[in-house]
Amino acid sequence: MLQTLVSFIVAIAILIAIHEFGHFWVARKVGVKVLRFSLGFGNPIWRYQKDEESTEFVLAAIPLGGYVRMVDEREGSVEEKDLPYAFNRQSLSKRVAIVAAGPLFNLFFAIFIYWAVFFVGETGMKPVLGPVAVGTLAEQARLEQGDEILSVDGVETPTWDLAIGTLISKVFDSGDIQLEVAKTDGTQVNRIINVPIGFANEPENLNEKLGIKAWRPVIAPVVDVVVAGSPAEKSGLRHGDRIVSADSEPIISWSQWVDYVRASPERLINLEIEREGVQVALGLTPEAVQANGVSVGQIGASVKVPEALFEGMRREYSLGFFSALSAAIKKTADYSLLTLKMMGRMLVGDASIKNLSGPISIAKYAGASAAIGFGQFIKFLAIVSISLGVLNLLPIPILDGGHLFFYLIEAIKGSPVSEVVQAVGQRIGMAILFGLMAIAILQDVERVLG
Amino acid sequence: MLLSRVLTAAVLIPLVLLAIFKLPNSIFSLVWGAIILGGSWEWSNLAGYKNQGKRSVLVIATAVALFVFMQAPVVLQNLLLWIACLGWLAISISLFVFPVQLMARGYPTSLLTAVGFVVLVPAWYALSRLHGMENGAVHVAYFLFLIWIADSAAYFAGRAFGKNKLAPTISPGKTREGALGAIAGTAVYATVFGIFNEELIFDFSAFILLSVVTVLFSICGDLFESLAKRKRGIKDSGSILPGHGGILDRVDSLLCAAPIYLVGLTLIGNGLNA
Repeated sequence: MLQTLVSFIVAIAILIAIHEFGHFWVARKVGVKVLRFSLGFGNPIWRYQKDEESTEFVLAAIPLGGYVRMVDEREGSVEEKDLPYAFNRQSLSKRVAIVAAGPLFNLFFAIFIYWAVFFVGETGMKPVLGPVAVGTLAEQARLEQGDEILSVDGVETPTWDLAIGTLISKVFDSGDIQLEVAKTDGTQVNRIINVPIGFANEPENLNEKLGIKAWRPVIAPVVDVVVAGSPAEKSGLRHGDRIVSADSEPIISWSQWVDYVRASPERLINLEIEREGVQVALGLTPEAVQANGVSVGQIGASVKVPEALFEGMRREYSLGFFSALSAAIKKTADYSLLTLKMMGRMLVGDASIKNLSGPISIAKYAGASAAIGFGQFIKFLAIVSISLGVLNLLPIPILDGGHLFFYLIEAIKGSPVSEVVQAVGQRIGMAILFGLMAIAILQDVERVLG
Repeated sequence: MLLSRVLTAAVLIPLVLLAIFKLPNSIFSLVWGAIILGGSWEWSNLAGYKNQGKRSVLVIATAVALFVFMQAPVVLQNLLLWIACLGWLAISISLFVFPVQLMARGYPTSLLTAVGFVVLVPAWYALSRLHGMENGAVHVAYFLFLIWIADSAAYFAGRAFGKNKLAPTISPGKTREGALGAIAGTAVYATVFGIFNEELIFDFSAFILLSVVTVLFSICGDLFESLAKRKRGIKDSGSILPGHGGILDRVDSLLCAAPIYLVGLTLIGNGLNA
């Protein structure tokens, strides 16, 4: 919980700092006087100002926002000597640049992160298929266990994450997807997945619906660590025990055993194990835990995964300087479009309104990704940075995009939009934003409680 | 007037349908591009160019712009499409909130030339891309009939019930009753189409909403061209089609509505991937 909170605050603080820095930097570049650059809002807890005339840098108590305050005649009286440096006296193009810089810096930051990730490189699993489910699109496309996916619609896919990611992004449109596949005997073949219309209408578990999953080596069902106080310990299961059968069904792999346990919440399993060459019978009742709204069994024991098993499955991959840059731009654009699509589907009342993440969910993801590692955390930062940038560019008054939209009207009409019209627009904008926030937080609470 | 309108339509509609359903996407894009270039010829007049040579240069520049746009990365194309939609939203709001200022302002020829590009290029791209999508021909046909049905419904509803002017400063001929007629006609048409083509549609109510929104923007596109013509003191933008005025008079509502329809389809779940 503490890690969740800390990661969340760190993530939000970084992204807001970048956003506000965008406004600040461009404002200074085009010659606007900046009075204050504040991270967080509310009471200042730390401040720095070189002299009377320079910008005051402030850290404030509530870390969930920030602002840049510029000299502006609409916000108070301005001294005669500062008038040429007032925001409202700048030409339209300069004001556009200052306002657009915030969201754009968020998008640039995401591009920079992806560029760094692609350039430095990642270790992933090779995209080798496990058992292909019967009656699925993958089976119709004659994909088989052991096939390695080389490319999807001409895009090279050196790792499982890339392969599945590219594939999933294609199934939202119906039609043919071209795969290049290496068979286990080393030959290369082309496979075509034919996606019917409406396949992705319910976008949950798309890879299961496609019928593909990653190849996993068979791991022997030998217990490694038993959690204290868990059902496994209470039943007498110990380190080194090999599971032989469950309710007389032979168990040959750890994944088979996990499936069996998951399917048996709070149900007694008659277990046969082998301990130091001797067969022992045990009774074990998995406890019930919630996973994706379904009750599944869990016993509190883990398996030892021999490192060597995965050695041959790993793949390092990285891109060159420029191809990493273009891949990063592409990825950022893809996520931006996806963000807009999600919003659109929510606006028309599609079920995916459940995807609207409020602060609680973002905090949970932040904590979870920080727990996995630094690489995951910065990728998480990139995604939230994109959402922040795209959301701020929406033409809703009070957001940066709303200001930009007023400037667009100013360009069409030839004079600034009157204060009265702006005020009306801002009220509408507030109503929209509070509505969205209320929905997001409600969804969050429901997720936490449910 | 009405008779020649109906006759022209009777000849045009089968031709258009043939083009949509028989032509491959590349040829369709070329034909639609030729129409857009005709529009650009007329726009150059509206923008204030008298000299035929200068007007020809502008048409060639538009053709180059279409070509460059076609070659641009998809990311950039999408971005410009979204910006075009925002631009139309801003224009539409301005038409109703600040009509007096728009009529009073003197627009330099250079600005109007730029506007011409911003209006014509995304419209060409949007309809060509829509046609290239899965079931694109059906979508294009649906879209064109949507606009024409809305136009006709507005015309007849306006004649029958028209009392209150929609935008008196810009176009004295348009009435609120006509606009309501267009919306009603659209809703009926969208519903009927939706019932018979359920497999094409992601979400029924969203589709009807999108159709109505598209038509609202088409009315704004219409008003926008009226504004441009009034400022130049011209009645018809050209005289190619008997009873229908020039090319721009025919496609003005499409210009605004096409990008809106394509982007809207994306938002409700059909079409447009990155």
